[in-house]
Amino acid sequence: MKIAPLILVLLIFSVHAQQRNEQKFSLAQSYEQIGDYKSAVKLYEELYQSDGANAMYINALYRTYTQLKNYAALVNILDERIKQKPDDIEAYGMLGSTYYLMGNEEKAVEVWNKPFQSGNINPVFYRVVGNFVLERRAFEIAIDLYEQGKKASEDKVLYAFDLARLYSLTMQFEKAAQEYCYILSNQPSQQQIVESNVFQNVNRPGALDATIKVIEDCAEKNNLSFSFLLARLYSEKKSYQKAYEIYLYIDEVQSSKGRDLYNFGRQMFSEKEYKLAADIFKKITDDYPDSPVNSQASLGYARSLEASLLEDYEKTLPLWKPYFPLKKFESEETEKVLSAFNAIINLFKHSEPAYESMLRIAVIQFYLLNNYEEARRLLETIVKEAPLSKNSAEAYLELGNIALIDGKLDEAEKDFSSILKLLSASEEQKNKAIYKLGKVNFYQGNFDEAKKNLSKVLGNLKDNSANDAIELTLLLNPQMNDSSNLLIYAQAEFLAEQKKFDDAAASYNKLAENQQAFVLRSISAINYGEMLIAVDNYNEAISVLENVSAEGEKNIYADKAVYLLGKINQYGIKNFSKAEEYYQRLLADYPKSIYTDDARAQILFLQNKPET
Amino acid sequence: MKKRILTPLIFSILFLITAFPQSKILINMDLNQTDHLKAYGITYRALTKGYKADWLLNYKGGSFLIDYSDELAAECRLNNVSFETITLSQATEIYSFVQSEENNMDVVRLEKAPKVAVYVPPGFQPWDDAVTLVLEYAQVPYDKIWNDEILKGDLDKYDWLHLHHEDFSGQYGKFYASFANAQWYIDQQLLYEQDAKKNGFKKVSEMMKTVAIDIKNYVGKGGFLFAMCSATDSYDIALSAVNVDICEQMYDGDAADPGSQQKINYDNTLAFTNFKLEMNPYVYEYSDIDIQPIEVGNFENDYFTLFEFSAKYDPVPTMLTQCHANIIRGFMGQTSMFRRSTIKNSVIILGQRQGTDQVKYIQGNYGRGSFAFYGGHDPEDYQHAVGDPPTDLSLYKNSPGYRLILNNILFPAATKKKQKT
Repeated sequence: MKIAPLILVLLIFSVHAQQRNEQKFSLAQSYEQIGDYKSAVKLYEELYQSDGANAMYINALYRTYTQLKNYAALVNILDERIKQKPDDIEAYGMLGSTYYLMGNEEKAVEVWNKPFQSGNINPVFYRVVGNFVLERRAFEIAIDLYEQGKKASEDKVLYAFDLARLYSLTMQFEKAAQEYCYILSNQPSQQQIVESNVFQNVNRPGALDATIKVIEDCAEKNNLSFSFLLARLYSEKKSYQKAYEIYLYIDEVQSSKGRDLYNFGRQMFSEKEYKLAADIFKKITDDYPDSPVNSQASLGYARSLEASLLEDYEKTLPLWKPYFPLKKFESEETEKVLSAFNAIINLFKHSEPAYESMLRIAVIQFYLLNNYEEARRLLETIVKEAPLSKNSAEAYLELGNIALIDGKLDEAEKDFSSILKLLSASEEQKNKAIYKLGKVNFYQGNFDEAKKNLSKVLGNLKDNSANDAIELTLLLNPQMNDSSNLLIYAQAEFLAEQKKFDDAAASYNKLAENQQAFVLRSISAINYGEMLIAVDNYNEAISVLENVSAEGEKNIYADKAVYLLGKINQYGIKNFSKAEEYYQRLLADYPKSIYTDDARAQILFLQNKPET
Repeated sequence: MKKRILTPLIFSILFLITAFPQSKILINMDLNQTDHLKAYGITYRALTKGYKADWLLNYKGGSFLIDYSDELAAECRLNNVSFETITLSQATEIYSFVQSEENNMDVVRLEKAPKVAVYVPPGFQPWDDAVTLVLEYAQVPYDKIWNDEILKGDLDKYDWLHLHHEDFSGQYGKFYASFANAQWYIDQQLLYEQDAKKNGFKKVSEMMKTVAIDIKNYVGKGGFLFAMCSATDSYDIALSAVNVDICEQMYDGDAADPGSQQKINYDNTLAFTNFKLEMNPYVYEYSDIDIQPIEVGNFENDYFTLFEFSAKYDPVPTMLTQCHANIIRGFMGQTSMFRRSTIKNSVIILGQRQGTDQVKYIQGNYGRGSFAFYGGHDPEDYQHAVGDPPTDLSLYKNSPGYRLILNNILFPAATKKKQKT
């Protein structure tokens, strides 16, 4: 009976003391948060005195003593703690850290390793101590510890991830890759995480080659996770053929009917590796006729072949010339491209891919094979059968271009006008059609209508046709009073459009010699030179352009003449020193010319050319 | 009396024209110049080829007059640098005009192309730094040096050293709050730690302090130091904290010294004094030297004005402020501008925002050398952020802000004249 009040008093006293400690602890934390470590440490010390076994107080003292660099006091407390509680793993971590901060690395390593000498320890503790070591950025010591943990632990993959991260951090990429090998070998399901970790570091110096080398050595034939990783690494290194071989293997093993190959093919197409992309798509269509990606692969194959063909074609064009004739492009690949697109037309009749294929064939027939009839037949099929197709506008545009070459202005006008009625035509396509209509009007001598159409294009100066429209409009405005010469000029332009360069040259020459033709005389003289360049008559062109350039400031195209003289010497007659001379002359005499940037670039190019 | 003034003038003109070939190239640097930035490159390279060049301070925007040669004229054209070919008598007239007591102009003979070093860590890209960007554009050759070269004494090989936004305080640019987990930040910290270890330092901050002291000694011995952006204040902060640990745990593994603010020594610094450190690692600022964006107010009104100095009596600040514009668009950086109250009295203010305490550009001397600090990161990219694409200087050929940087390159080429009394 007498004991009960005593217990009650002790209980009340104990609760009261506990409440007071909690308040003191909160206050100390507040001091700590505002950076007043001295006041905080004082309170934490009092709390530690009242309850030396409380881990919370020890942790708080560790934080604040560290801030105040009072390492000696901290060592005493942590030594005491380890004596009292030898299984407190965090105390070893903190004590080791304290020695490290004191600059005693040897002692720090000794303390950090101490808990693991007993031989009967929870392997998770390696990670606990490891965290303290990492906090000190002692990466090599941490690696040692994690290696030990990996040996001791049953969950070796967990430690392998830690080690791979540490090895990558310290730029030991081969060792990191070895850890990834271990993970994939034991848990292939971790492939995506491994891949993501590898690719976080793969762009660091030396990482890619080191990783590839190790993964190649450790890859297991039957473990596809290695194959996926290696294929991506090879792609990253641009060893596309090697990557392709691996995707072939993956596709075969997984029986995925070309799905992985198809994605790789698309990647190759966007990397402009057209030949390889074509091989990949062909493989899919040949090997998996029932593949769900078969139709896309067929189109991909044809597009890749076409892109490769056009690359070769462009290389043959004399793009330095302002005008050049359309010449038939003979290539073994052309037939392959045509049959690839024809296969699509036959396989997927009346579909968008079929009409797109028709358009692609028509373009090749027109520009590469100069078979205007076949091109026209295909284009007419598109616009008749599929007026709502997104390919119709392009088809009308090419029909108009063919009509222009054929000299059929009314037909061209009809074709370009049709684009304006198409719902499927984009704004850009419509603007292009209006510009073309303006040009047709100009060729017809209908200058008012031409101006009207060109001014519509100028309504949107961001449009690609706007620059061309401005150029023609500038010519039209001041020349309206000289309509007879303008008519001759328009006819000459039309002949040039039809690639009838000799005839055009004659007309331009006539105007160039006409002293009454004012501005038209100057522009015609330069155009005359351009026509001569188009037909490779360089000697005559040089003489004409020299005359224009000799007029100096009197001729507003004198700078262009000097520029073209440089071009003829550089590309036509390959007299590089003379070419450089002309470019230098352009810079000296016409520093404000629009051709100066290119002239500078060409001078630098010629100066750095090994044979000059 | 009049004769006495005229005699030295005539002699100096005669001296300037004695080495005349048939004519001279006058590179105007006023608003008619087509590419101000490349004009510096032309002049610099002319010096390396042995041409004599004169810098006509305050004449047509600070023009250059160089002996004529076909080679030089072709180079000007190739680089789109406009110039005039002038005769001997025209040149004499210009010299006479510039040296006349009535005009605030002068002629500075440029003797030798200075050897330029830029302090950059390995793996840096030229567009990380406005100076390397403009040196590349103007085709002025430079060497990249880093801690290893400085610590082994290589600075003596150079006439001019540039620091950009490297952090000398050991706090890794104070990017911890935003980028602690970014790969580039992790790599950077590791790179610095390995470098410190290699050079025998336990901490990066200790190594950076030694580097800062070596640079200061280089200036003391006659070197020219040009710093921009955060290299300016972080450099002086490092010097002030030579005997104090101001780095928090996340930077060097241990806490900063308690009461470090009271322990720093302003006597050690080059330009700044009485500043207050910002030691919170979560605040992206080193100290109160830098002007905060909120103090700048409306960014549209951020312009600074260059002071006009007497060309004949203050040639150094005059050279550094040669420009075709007097009021220049401001630009931000980790350190954008300097607070006037933190600048030492011995330092000359070259440019500031009118009516404020915000200073953009300063210059001072230490020992036999000189330093210039220019706030902001990229004169043509108002708020250049980490990862932003590089500025294409071919679009800013006439940038006044970039021009100020290039003045610093030619400044060490100038022949030292006796101070007029």
